[in-house]
Amino acid sequence: MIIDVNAFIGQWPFYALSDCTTEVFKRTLDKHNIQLALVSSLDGIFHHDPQFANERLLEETVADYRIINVPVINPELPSWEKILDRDLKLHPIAGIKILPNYHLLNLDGDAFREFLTRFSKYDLPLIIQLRMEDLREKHPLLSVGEVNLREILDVVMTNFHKSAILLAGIKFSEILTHKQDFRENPLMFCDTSWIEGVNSMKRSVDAIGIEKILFGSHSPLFYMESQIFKIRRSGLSESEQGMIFHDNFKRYAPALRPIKEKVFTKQLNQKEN
Amino acid sequence: MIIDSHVHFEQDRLDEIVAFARVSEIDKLCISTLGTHSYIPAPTREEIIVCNNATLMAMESYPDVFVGFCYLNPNDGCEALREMDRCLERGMKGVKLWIASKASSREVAQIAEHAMEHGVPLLQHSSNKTTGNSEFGSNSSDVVILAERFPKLTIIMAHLGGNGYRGVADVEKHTNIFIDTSGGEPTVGITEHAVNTLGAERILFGSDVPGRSFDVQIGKIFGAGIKDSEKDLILCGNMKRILKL
Repeated sequence: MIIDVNAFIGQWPFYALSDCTTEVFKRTLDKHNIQLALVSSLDGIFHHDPQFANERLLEETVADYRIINVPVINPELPSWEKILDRDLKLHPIAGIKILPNYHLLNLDGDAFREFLTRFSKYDLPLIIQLRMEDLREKHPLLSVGEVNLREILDVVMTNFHKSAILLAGIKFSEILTHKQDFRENPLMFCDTSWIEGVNSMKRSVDAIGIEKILFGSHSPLFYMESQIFKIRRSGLSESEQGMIFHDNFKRYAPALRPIKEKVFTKQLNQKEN
Repeated sequence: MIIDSHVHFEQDRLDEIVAFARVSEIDKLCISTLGTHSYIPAPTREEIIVCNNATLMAMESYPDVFVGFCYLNPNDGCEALREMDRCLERGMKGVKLWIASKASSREVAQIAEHAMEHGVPLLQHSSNKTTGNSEFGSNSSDVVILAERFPKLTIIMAHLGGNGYRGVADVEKHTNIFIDTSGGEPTVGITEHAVNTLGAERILFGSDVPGRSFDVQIGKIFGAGIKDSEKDLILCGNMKRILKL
């Protein structure tokens, strides 16, 4: 059983992806025995207002119980709260995703702090997508830079409370640098999608504890085979692999609103039975 | 059999590297040493000898696993040629060039000619970074110039992902250029594009371990939407032919 906490559906603007539609993604779930996927819109990253892309993705995926939407939110757009209120009445949401470098967020600004304070009341996970592609290979027109992880952690830890924080796309070197933050914050998690290097999974586990690491694929931009091999061939035991593939999600999920928790629990129980 | 065409030595991690290669069922690793503690972009003659001795030590420790490639600084002139001779006499099977000199330079031409005379492949680092290459780092256009000068030399252009779609287009007509898949993220699409454009017989599996990992990098081949026969060529057949194994 696999739960994927970091997947996308949609077009990447800079090269053609053949496997980017909802239908193909569903086949990917079947092929790799993935029971649950937290999915965001790729298109939404590049829209001035991501809401249209979020809604379109929801329409395409709402009928598949395996796909839970994670809307892309630009915290500097004043409409985010109104949209989130409306969406929460309609369907389960497994948190929201922000992309500090793609939305050029001013991490030191009042708007971002205000967003974090107000978002805290929703008791939903906050997914911080640290990177989407190797910036050495980015399109020359893109002005995207690296996220300053120290800076964003300082702001988030001060202004966001109660719910889980997932650092999606973190690198192995960043895990080592920020291991103390993971140790000091019980609700701080990361995904596996950008962790690489010989023995890097086991060393990540040693650094921050296995309960902090969840499986993320970065699909459809990255090969699912690479992401699954990374865990299966890590040298971790079967039970440790199970924690990364699915069990740790249950630690992350309780932060969801009660109604969503019921939905997740029901779905997970159905699959486990 | 699976052959990894692009692996680097790291002090005190040889056993770990071999163990993880075995988990991914990789039988042979083409290894070069760019520095025994950290990679050296423009090594001195003394540093080159230390690097290549480390490769020889790896070959002696695991003779059935490691296939040595000698690291050279083309700016060393005749000394570099003598070092190539020393390494090849002791069993190395290829030459590795990194970022001491561009592939289009006269200095590299001297190395290339000597490698061609010995009948060994030249593994040349290359990338087309949006953010810019290092001063003496080669891009795919530099590699093409080298290939035009020495059409009978087998050139392995490293890093399919780093060279990208531009790199594939640049080398298409130059059939003595192979591309390895090493390094970079496991980005969907570029492996399929390279196979469709160049043919699977010009693509080689490589990992760039230990900075990268066997599992993620080999997933680029197993996950690609290409035929099993093409995967076999990439994972083994092509490199076996190049190394005359």
